[in-house]
Amino acid sequence: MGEKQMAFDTLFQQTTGLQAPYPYQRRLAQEPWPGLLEVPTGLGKTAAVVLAWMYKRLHGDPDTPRRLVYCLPMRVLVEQTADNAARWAEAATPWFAERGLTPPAVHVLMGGDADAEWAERPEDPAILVGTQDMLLSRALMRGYGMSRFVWPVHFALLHNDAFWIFDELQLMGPGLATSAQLEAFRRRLDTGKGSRSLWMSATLNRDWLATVDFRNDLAESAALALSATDRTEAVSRRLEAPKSLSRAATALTANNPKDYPAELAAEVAAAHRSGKTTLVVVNTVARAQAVHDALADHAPDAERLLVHSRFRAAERRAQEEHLRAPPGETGRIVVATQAVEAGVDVTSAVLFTELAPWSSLVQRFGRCNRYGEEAEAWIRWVDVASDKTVRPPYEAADLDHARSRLEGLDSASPGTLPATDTAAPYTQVLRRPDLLALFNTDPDLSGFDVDVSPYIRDADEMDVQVFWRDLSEDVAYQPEPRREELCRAPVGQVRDYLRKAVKKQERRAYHWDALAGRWIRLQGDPRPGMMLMLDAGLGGYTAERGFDPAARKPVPVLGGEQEEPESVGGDRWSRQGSLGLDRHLMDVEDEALRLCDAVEEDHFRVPVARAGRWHDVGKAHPVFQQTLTACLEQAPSTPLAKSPCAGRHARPYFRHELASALAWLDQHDGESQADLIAYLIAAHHGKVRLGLRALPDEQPPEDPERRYARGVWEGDELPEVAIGNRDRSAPVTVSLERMTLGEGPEGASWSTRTARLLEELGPFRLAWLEALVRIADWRASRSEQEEGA
Amino acid sequence: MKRIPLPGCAPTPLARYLKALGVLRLVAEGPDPEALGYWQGDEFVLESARLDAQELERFLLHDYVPTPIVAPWNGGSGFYPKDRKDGIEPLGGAQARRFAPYAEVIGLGFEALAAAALETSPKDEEKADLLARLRGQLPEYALQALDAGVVLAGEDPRYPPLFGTGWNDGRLEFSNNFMQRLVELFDPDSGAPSTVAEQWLPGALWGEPTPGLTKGAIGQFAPGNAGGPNASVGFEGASLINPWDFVLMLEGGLLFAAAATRRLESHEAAAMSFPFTVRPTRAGSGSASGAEEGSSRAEMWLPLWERPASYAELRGLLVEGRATLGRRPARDGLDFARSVAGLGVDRGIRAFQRYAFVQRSGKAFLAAPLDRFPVPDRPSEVAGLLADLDRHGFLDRLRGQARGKDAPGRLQSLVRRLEDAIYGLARGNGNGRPAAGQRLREILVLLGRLQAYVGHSPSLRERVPPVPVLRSDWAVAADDGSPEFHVAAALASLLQPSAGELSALPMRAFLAPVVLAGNRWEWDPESRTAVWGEGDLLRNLLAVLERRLLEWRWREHAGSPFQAGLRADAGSVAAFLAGETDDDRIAELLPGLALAWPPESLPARESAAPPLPVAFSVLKPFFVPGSLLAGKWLPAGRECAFPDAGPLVAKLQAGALEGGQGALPTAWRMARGAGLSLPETPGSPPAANMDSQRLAAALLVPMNVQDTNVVLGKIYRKPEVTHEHTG
Repeated sequence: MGEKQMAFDTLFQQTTGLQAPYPYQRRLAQEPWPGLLEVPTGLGKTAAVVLAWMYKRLHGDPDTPRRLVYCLPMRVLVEQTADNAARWAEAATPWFAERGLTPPAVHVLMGGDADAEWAERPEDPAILVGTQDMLLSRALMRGYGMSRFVWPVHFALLHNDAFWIFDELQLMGPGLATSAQLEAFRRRLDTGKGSRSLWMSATLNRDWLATVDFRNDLAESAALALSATDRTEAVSRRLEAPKSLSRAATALTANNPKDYPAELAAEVAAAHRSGKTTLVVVNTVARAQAVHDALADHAPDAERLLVHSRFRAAERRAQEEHLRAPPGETGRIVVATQAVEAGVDVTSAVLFTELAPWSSLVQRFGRCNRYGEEAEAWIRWVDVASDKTVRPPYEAADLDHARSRLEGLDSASPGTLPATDTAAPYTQVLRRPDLLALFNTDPDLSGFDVDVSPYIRDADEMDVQVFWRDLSEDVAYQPEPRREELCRAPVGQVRDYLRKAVKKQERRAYHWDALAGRWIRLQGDPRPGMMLMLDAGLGGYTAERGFDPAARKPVPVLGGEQEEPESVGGDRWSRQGSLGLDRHLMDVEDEALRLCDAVEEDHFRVPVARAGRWHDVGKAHPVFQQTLTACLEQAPSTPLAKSPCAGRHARPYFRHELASALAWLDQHDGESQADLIAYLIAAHHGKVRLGLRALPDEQPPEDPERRYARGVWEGDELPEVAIGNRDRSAPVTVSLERMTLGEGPEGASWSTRTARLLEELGPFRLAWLEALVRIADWRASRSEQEEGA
Repeated sequence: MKRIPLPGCAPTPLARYLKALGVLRLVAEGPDPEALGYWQGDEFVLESARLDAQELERFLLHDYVPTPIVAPWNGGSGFYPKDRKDGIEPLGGAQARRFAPYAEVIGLGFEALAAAALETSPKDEEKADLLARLRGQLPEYALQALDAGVVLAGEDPRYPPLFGTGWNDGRLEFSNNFMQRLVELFDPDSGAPSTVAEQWLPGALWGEPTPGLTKGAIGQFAPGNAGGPNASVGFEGASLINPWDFVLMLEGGLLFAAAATRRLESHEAAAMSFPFTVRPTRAGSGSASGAEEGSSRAEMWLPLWERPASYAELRGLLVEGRATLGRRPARDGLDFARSVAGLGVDRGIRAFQRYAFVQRSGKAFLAAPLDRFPVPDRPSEVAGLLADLDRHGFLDRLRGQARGKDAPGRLQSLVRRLEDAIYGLARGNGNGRPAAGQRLREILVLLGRLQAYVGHSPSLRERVPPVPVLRSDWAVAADDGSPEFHVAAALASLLQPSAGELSALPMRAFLAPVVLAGNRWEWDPESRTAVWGEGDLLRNLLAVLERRLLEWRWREHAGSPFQAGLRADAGSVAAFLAGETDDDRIAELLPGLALAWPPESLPARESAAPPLPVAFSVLKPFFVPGSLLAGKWLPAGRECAFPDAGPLVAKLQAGALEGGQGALPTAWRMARGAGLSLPETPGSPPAANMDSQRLAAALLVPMNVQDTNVVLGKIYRKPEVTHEHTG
């Protein structure tokens, strides 16, 4: 055993508290990263990857990016994974400290402000865990549940210096092709900092990843799988655990959906063994609820448990604890949906499962005699007709295929199961032009955007998050929901829920209006990814059955400490003393330099710093200064960057960063990287990016000849701004010539310039530089505020 | 920079417009990425540092690499056994380098069909699957063509209108035709241009006469070719076309794919958004009848810009061309007309050429050129007033009702006229088109009529809200200085909510069954104040007058029935009283003007009307708010008990003006009793000979304070005792 191996074994054991690592876990840490990890379920893939990543970070491996982005198809998995990772990271802290390194922090990306913190520290190692909805939407520049103005920052940090882990691929749907395409684009389009991907699955069919642009890379990707030495006793006991397989007497057909729950419950009750766990996996939440209800009559003595994804975290946690405890004398019957296929660590002596696509069945079989703990275990599969009334959420072809495979099998021991060969589902594939189009986030005034949802998840799986509160007293200023309160629910069902009145009272949903800083009533239908507050008095959830639109009884509200939510981009830094503009410009430039050093951005250090130096020059605009000095007794002699005055600008939609960018171009057009710096300046709030347009309800100047955009008018005078001894912006008469299509007297238009930049630098690098300037601005502002406070 | 004018390209017909973009696109994607293009008058101009006219010809003849356009989902596309093969077969096996991409994509098309085991053109789900497969598998250079023909929004394929339903329009299969034309132009194996290709090219680019054209269909792009009324405008000779025209047209049409996007979020049906393309509207289309709206599938607005722009920039423009109006998407031509002004101004676009895709013959659609929409120098503030109509979804809902299958004819015609007027307003004036003020008056009149019409239909009331409160700028901008307008505006402001305060008995509630709830109007089918009906102005005004007095009595004389937000000058009132005004015009304007907040004042107008008669002066004190008399004409404190004009109105209504029981002597007596000072002589009111009903109506018209004082001063004396300066 070499020294390196010992080091890894010690790290592994000390941080996870587990036995010595399996050989494959060691190999993962000590060999170059593979592209694929093909290891059966239950053999510690998560620990393997997180610990290998830490190990390589500890050893300064250049091929190990700073951010571990752990992407999972389901919320339940996110919580488990994040909890484990946090525990391990905590335990590994001394190892990092010893080497003078910052230990990794674990963040769950769940939308809202809670996950904003990590984005301010791009130089620190971090483990970001999230669902594919949260992560892929961000990777597509349309982050769900966050301010659209911060999209470019998250986009940048998830494509640069990021190590994407995709787990439980069989549940990812269209997200899988997207993950492969994004990896291909990162390799092709150039990133500011290297990134990589690793796909992990027990039931991986490589073809699923063979998308048009990734096909060739995939052929060259190394896969790490179990080797002969991995087949130690513990592993082989799992691989060879006996599981006899037969068809259940009950079947679901188009004719019996009503009687089916009772029929299945009766068969389950008869097969149940006292003192053991019986697991029943069905394909829909509604059927799980019905079978669970029916079992009350057929197996009144056994402990019953219902597991699906439509529970609040609080109830789910209680269930999981329950599941972990050994069953009592009468045994336990767990009714579950496909939520149990992934991650939930449960085993059973008897398993009933409805027919499902082959890869799902393999996962479900893994929940029977999981550790080889039983000498005998039975699996019965319940046939599901391919009729469209009963087959959803699955396709007839997938069910037919699985049925034909099952018919020849009498054992489901992992060792004897054939590999997955189902073809990849046909989904919409993200192409390079699509990604480039998504880079443009220009304010979408009509509330319409390019739709990214087909690249993330199947349309019928779209979820929102809901939580319940007592709204009889106050609606608008309810505190932010805590994780325990949130429950996932399908968009369609929430819509139906809202359409049903209870006791003549209309059901309403509220969403957080970050601009107004309060909860407001949802107009129209809910949209995927939203977080909605519901009135507990009007029902819709029970602790036993989870989300249930038909439930009318009041929902028990979860107590606990609650914080009032912050409004997005709110005035986090504005309530402070006055600060001179020159000082702020220099602070941001200095911070930008420090940041570039910290993230080792050498090539573009100068333009990033220069953008920092000039980013707020436009604040010298009289409109901005008027707002800043309105509450001051004495107007200062030089322009301010910040002041305690709060108020609206005399011109609505006034954007100082546009004035800054125009002032910069006016004095530096034609110089090297002048366009890049102009873009970085303009984009530093995420509000002026690729296009330059007036907003429809903007107040136009009186003179019809004057162009205007974002409150900046042609001919506005910007005074001289001295930037300490470093630089000086001469007085400028603003020209908006460049917003016009075509070559003009001032050269190419703004959109030509930005299109060229995007072409030259690519979306990943451009966003990266954009993010650095913004982060420098955030950080400088924060320390200025802390000093001032 | 070399300037290459292309007289063969023009804003109309559509084929020629697309051809212009085709040339720019091919040059920019080929020899000169920095090439620029713009419209000068009706001609397209290409600017290039690398090519001149001759080199452009050379490039197209020898180096141009055709974009692979295939549509394996279409029967007739060449991919199925019974299809015409004279294009696809030679290209599928072509050896020439310029056809390599085409050959590859044809091969991939066949592979995709084989993989999906399709032997006939697929339908529904199979078709969607095939499209997803192709979109996921074809090389990037073939995606643009795919996106120009079809967009997958969710599970369903949707078709941008430009190329029929996925490169197929009626019997014309574009992709197969394209391949056939290419084979006519070039040798598939050597890549060399045919002799005729050389002969035809000048015709396509420079508009020179072409020796002998080829047979083929150009479809919807040049309706002239189908033998329509424009036959002489576009291409000459029915269905004889220059293959270059067809090829370049399709190459240009692909530019519109660059921005084919899907729209996010689910409050509207999943939609495809295509640059500058909206639902069809009747407004402004001139000749198109209402029936055509039903059979036309879309409307496109093609930008005409005058400053040299690059291909990349043009693509960006088309991406932005998803028109938005305020905070909602523009869905049809009317919305678009209102929103393009802003986009055009920002972007330097001078005009848009409008096209409607109309179904005229069998299944095929024709791109019928509509008008050219000049972009105003800036969004007109007057046009900005139209935003008021979007509140509470009013305009959308109204238009939605009028489009309904069973919409009453009267509603349809009113809404259609409204749409035309709005379109006209957005389009701006100039070239002899009516000025904005006239458009606004038209709109106000129509809104007034619509309000009455909808208000009296129980089923429409459920679906369309009352007209939202309009800003006071409406009245100011619509003012034509006529006495009719000023009289109507003053009447409209009677007890109107003024200065932002809402008070009782607003004129609007007398014109239609509406009631103020909070700060918005709602329907009130039970309204007892809505006495206005068809018929003449005087009768209606008297009905309003009586009803106002009655309501005032029910309110125990709180306030005054004659309070008003805006007061007319004496000249306008005199013209009305003298019968010199057009009563119908007043009746028409009043309901519209009552929808707007009254402005503080309207510009003073010159008046040549005869002075108001003394009889008017005698009666007037009973038709003004008490506050106007207090202190000035009445001793302090007396105004509260000032008598009700009811008895006078009854007499005027009955035609009793003079004589013992006439309105004048009665007023004389009442005035004395109320504390007004009358002169010693004459001891009785002067004789008058006039239409007493008109007099009553004229008395209802609010008159400005200064003129009122002058009028009252003709008869009444100011009280002597209380003087403001005494203290």
